[in-house]
Formats: sequence, structure tokens, C-alpha cells
Amino acid sequence: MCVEVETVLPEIDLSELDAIIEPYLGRKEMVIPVLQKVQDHFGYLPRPAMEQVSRRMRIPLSRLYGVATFYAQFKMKPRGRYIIRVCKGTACHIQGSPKISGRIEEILGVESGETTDDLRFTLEEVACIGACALAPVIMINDDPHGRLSPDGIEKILEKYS
Amino acid sequence: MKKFIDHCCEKCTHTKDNPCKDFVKCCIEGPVCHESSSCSARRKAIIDEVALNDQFIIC
Amino acid sequence: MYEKHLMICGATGCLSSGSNLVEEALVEELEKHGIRDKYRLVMGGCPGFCEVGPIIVVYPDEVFYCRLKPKDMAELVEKHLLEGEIVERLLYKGPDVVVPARFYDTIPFYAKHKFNVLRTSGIIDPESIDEYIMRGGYRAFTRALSMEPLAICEEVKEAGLRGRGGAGFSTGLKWEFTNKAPGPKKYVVCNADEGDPGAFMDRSILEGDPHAILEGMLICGRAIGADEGYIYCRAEYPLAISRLKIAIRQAEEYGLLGKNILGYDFNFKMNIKEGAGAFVCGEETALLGSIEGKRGMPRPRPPFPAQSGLFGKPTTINNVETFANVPLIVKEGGVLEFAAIGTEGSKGTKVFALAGKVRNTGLCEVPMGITIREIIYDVGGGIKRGKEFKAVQAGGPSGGCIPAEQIDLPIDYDSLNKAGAIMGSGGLVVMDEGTCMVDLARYFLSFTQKESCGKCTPCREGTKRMLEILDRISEGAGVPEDLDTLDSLAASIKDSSLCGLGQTCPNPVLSTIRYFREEYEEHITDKFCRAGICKELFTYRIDQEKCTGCTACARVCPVDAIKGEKKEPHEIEQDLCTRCGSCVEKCRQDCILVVPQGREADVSN
Repeated sequence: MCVEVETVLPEIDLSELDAIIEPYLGRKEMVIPVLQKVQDHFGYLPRPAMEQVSRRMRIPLSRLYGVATFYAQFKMKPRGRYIIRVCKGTACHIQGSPKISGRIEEILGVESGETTDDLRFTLEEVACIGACALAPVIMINDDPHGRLSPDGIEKILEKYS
Repeated sequence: MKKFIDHCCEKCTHTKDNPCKDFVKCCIEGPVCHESSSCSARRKAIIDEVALNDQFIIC
Repeated sequence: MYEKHLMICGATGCLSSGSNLVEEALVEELEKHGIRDKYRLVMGGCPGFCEVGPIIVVYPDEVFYCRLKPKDMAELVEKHLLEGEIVERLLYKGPDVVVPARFYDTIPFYAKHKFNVLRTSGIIDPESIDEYIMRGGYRAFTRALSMEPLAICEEVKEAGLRGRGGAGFSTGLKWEFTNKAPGPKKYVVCNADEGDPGAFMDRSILEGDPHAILEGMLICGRAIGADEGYIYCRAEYPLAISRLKIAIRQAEEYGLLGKNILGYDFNFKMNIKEGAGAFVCGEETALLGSIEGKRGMPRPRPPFPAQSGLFGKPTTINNVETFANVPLIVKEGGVLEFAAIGTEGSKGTKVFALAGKVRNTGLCEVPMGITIREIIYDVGGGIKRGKEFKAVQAGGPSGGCIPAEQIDLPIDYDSLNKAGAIMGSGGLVVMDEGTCMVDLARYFLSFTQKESCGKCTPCREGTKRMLEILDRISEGAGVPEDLDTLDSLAASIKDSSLCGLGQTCPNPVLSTIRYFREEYEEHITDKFCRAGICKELFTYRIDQEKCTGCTACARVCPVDAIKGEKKEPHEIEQDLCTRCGSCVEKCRQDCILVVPQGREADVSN
């Protein structure tokens, strides 16, 4: 995966970042929990924040990005207010999850991994959310929606504005 | 005594810093280190609160 | 004392079908009648039968209510709790029972169960250490503290416990290696990075009985001489993580974690690490790298973790279900009890996650050696919508499929290996005639290909090339030589990959070719996908004899490709049809047929 440089740098308020890093100073093995906390705070990993983490924790920026881009959880770009996670587990797959994601892509006009221009939805895939009995399943933020069929998707998305 | 970690009377001294070898056994079958029907009743009360049926307790 | 206990399934499956709303409605009803204090409500662990969730079990009556809706709570409270009458309407009903069934004794789903690991899940409040102790908890650990460490390893070996996460290596032997490795600092690691798509048993154990994992790890710590443990849990399991944290806090308060535990010369500190979404971290050496804060990439073995593991120290890694079995073995008399279940080479029980096209989906814990037929037809209640059983995928992306001809195969480590599958973590995904085996192989390979960490070439490049061939076949551009190329690529990847992920990822392709070669050939030579999955290789046609003109299909079609008058047979305009399959879902007469392209007049089945 390559790291794209953000073309327009949004305003990033770094004032609370030091407090997030503080408890982990000197503990390089805790880099993943730190990045998780940073992402919780900003919604993604903005470059200026990464630079500050790198300086404070004394981890080269390249290594930090190496770790961040390895794990699917970490996002390098801002995401939508609602994260749609389409379960790509086996049970969901054979119960028709490709048709579900196809329908969502059609409605939103974005592909998996992308965010709508109005920052309303981000469409993602997830390996398995473990609700196989309700396949096919999607999660919108923390709400699971199970036993879906392609024609019911539009109604569900309408609930999230 | 509301939880097993609470002391049934001053004879029980189990805490994490001053542990008793018999603590786990004592929770259900206790008291182990002394005899007292009121102390065992206190343990029974905790069990009765949550035991779903006769087979619930395993010791 | 409470009059009754109401255990509401609070696991992810039932939560997804709305068990939290059911609970809110129940509380409201109880308060309306002013009887809230008389009843104990617990959002507990999973009773396994996810298909019919949300579930409430009423104790001590042992009545199992299912498929509950918030509006059912008024009747449940008034009839059952106030008048003592069972609400028949909410009991389990299905084609496999004559009368509505009450619970374990009469619901067929539970008939073959043998509860060992899940003995307490759904019965206790997972957030109460007291209840775990009442169920015999921490007794095995207390006993282990008074034993010689090697004697503990010996008991686990004697019981015949094999790893429940993948390869099935002897757990006792693994412990013994770590015990004998030199050095004062050792670690216990619990692999809770359950990543196989289609498997969720570890999550259920973590959510339903977290103390069992802590106890298993503590016993392991005593046996190998470790004083620190890590639980590496997927971040996608927030409920499991929060319950583990509560369990750790309670064990610390009770003096079961910490220094000089129960007065013995034994210290133990427990840590939780959240994964960050990388399937390869389920591989033990990659997982260790991830705990150390690195990219989760596997290391070559040897040295094995037992010699040089976490931070270079001797480490034992077991998965969740393995640790959950340990207290059962190390308790007084546990070895014989454990070894009495199962087969010669595979002792004890196994929890399977049953999913796919089977009627009863959910978790089942059954003795090792049970046959596929028993699982699918007795536990699973047969195939959905009365369709034909085609194959079952065992062991996720590292496993293989087992075809219908081998339905009487016993499920144990060795039989599965011989059939070309693996036990893996215990995911069983059932497939019917509507599953395309080429697409299935492609699905698993695209998963492993995406999750390949990229460190070694056979896995990184080999899976990519295999995937290209499978893509080609499913798009109708396959050539006859493709099957041989797949075979030889698969063999090289198996032989030369660095870690388990690479060594096992060709299995789904190999096993589907082995058992469903004719389906591959049909894709390649006839350009036809009989299951109606590979979009370029079939068209839909409406059976003009059977169609009643109910218009259900026409209404659901997103591109308006279905034309026809009411009560007259409908037709599909092929130029418009995107083969989304929405109409097939809706048709009650099963009259939408899958036929080869350009031969619309044929009837395929």
C-alpha cells in the first residue's frame, strides 16, 4: 500500500496530542496502542500528528508509517460521518454479500475504501464481524444490519443523514 | 458479606496482599479455617442469590 | 432471593438481531408491574443458537424463548412471570419438531451437544467472578499451584489436548518445551485474533466466560514458569475486550492475579493487546511481532516461540478455546473425564461455528469424531429452503471443502487432514447447489492474497498468479491448461512459503479442484456456471410453465428488466439484466432458471 500525500491539508488541532502520547513515552512496543488512540481522536492519522508522534516517541517517521500502513485499521485520510462496513466473511459471501456491496456502490457512487464527497459515508470491507448467522451483514458505525437483500439497502442508508 | 472477597468474620484474613491458600475452596465450602454456621450461611446467601438451579454449583 | 432468572443473550449475534431492545422492553414491562426486584436479568453469554435470536432463557424453569421482539415482552411478563404459564407462541418451532420445544431436552439443535468449553456460557453473568467460582472456577488453578510444573504439562499431555486454533499440535508437549527452555523470564500468550471468516467461537467464549481464559493462562503460566501473559484480541471484538478487562480487574482484586498468588511463590501479570486488523497476525510469530509494536510479519521457525518468542523470551502461544479446555483437564479427575470424550487421536469436544446455507446457524459444541451428516442434518436441521447439500468448507481459508459424497466422514484432526481440509479454528460453512466452487476458491484466495504480508515471494506473488487464473476462469476466459498450472503453483506455494498462512492458502483451490473438477471444466470449456454466480457465464430465464405472474420479481428488479402482465408469465429482457439476483430471492415458485448464455431456450436443470 502506498501512502498518499494529502493535497489539501485540513486544519489539525494538535493541542491535545501530547497528552495522548505522554503515558507511552519511552515504550516503543506500545506504538500500536498510541496510533489507535491518535486515530480515535482525529478519526484518522493526519500527517502532522504522525510527525509529532514520531518526534516524541523517537521512532523514525518511516517506521511509524510502516506500522500504520500494515494494519487495515489505520486510515490515512479523513473518513465519513458514517462508516459502512460490509462483511466479507465466508458465510456472508455465499449468502450474497457481493450483491450487497455492489448495490451500495451503485447508490453512493463510491467504491470500497472511498468516502462520499459530502463526507457522509465511507464504504469499507471487513473480514468478518462474527455475526455469521445473520449473513449477509453490514455495520453502519456501531449498528449491525443483518439478513439483507440488495433491494432493502436504499431504505437503510436513508436513515443515516 | 456481599462478594466472596468480603470477610465473613474477623477470622478470615484473605486479601490480595495477605492471601490464603484455601481461598477458592472457602468461597463455596467455607469457612475452612474455623467452624461457624453463621459464616457458612453468609456464603450460602451469595450463592442463593444467583444459583439458577440445583446443578449450578460445581465443587 | 429472586423468583426467576432471565438470561438474555447479549452476544454479538443476538445483539445484531436486537436483543438490547428486547431487554429494554422487558425492563419497562417489569417496572410497569412493579416487579422489577423479583427477577434477575442478565445480559449473558451465547446459548449458541444464533439463528433464532434474540433469545431469553427463563430459569429455573429452563424455558427457551426465541425470535423475540420488544412487543412480545408484555405477554411474556404477564403470562409466564405473573401467571406461571408458558407462552407457547414464543417457544422454538420448526420443521424438526412436532410441538413447540422448551429447551435442551427437546430442541433438536441441542441434541448432539456436549457442553464442556461452553458449559457456563449463557448460564452465568460473564462480568461476575463469584459466579465463575460457583461453577468450579479457579479450583483447577488452585490445584495447579500445589503441583510440580512438569506434572501439569504431563496431565495436559495425557489428556490428549491438541491446539484448537490450527495445526492441532499437542498442547502439553508445547508447554513442556517452554518449561525446559532456559531463562528466568517467560511469557504466556493467548491468541484471540480470530480472523478466519466464518468462525466466531472464540469470540463467544471470550464474551461468555472470560475467566476461563484467565484460569487456563494462569495454569499454563505455572506449568511453564512464566510470570506474564498477553491476550492478543481483535479490535473488532469490543465486547470481548471489555469483558476481559473486567475479568482481569476482578481477578486482581481477589488475589488471583498479582504477586504471591494464594500464598504460593507465583506471580502473574496479565495484559491485553488490541489487534489492528491484519489476518496474518493470527500466525503465532506474526502475532508476537505485533505485540512488540512492529509490522505483524512472520519470522522463520526455528527458533520456535518455545525457545525464542515474545521479546526473544521463551513463550507459549495457545488459542482461546485451547486455554478454555485447560481448567477442565487440570481439575481433580479432569484428565480421565476429558480423555473419555472424542476419538483415539482427537480428544475432547470442539466448538464449531455453523454457518452458510444450513437451517440452524450458530455455535455447537460436539464431541470430536461426530460425522458431517450429524452436524448438518441433526444439529443444523438440514439445508435451507430444502435444497441439495453440496459441500462443507472446514477450516476457513486455510482449510478445504468436503463434498457431499463424504458426508459420513468423522470430524477429527486426522480424518479432516486426509480429506484435504483442516480442523483449523472450527468454522464450518455449508454450501448448497447455489454455491459455485470456482467462485468459492476465488473468494478464499482473494482473501489470503489481500492478507498476505508480502514478506516471502511464494505467498505474495504465487497467490496473485493463482488468483489471476481463477479470475480468468470465472470470467469465461479460462483455458484447459489452467488447472495444471494451478496445481503446480499450489504445490510450490505450499512447499516454500514461510508461514502457515502461505503454506495452507492453496488448500481451498486444491480441494475444490480435487472434488469438483467437472465444475471447473464446465467453466472453462462450456463457459457455464451452473450455480448462477459467475456473472459472465449464465443468464436467467423465467420458466414460462411455472410462472404465475405474481409480479414480485418485476417489482424488485432494480433495472426494470422484467416485463409481463399480471397473472401472465413474465420475461427477462437480457440486454438490461445485470444478473443481480434480486428476482431469484423474491420468486416463491423457484421459476427463475440459470441457463448458459446464448442458449436461452435450454432448461438447465
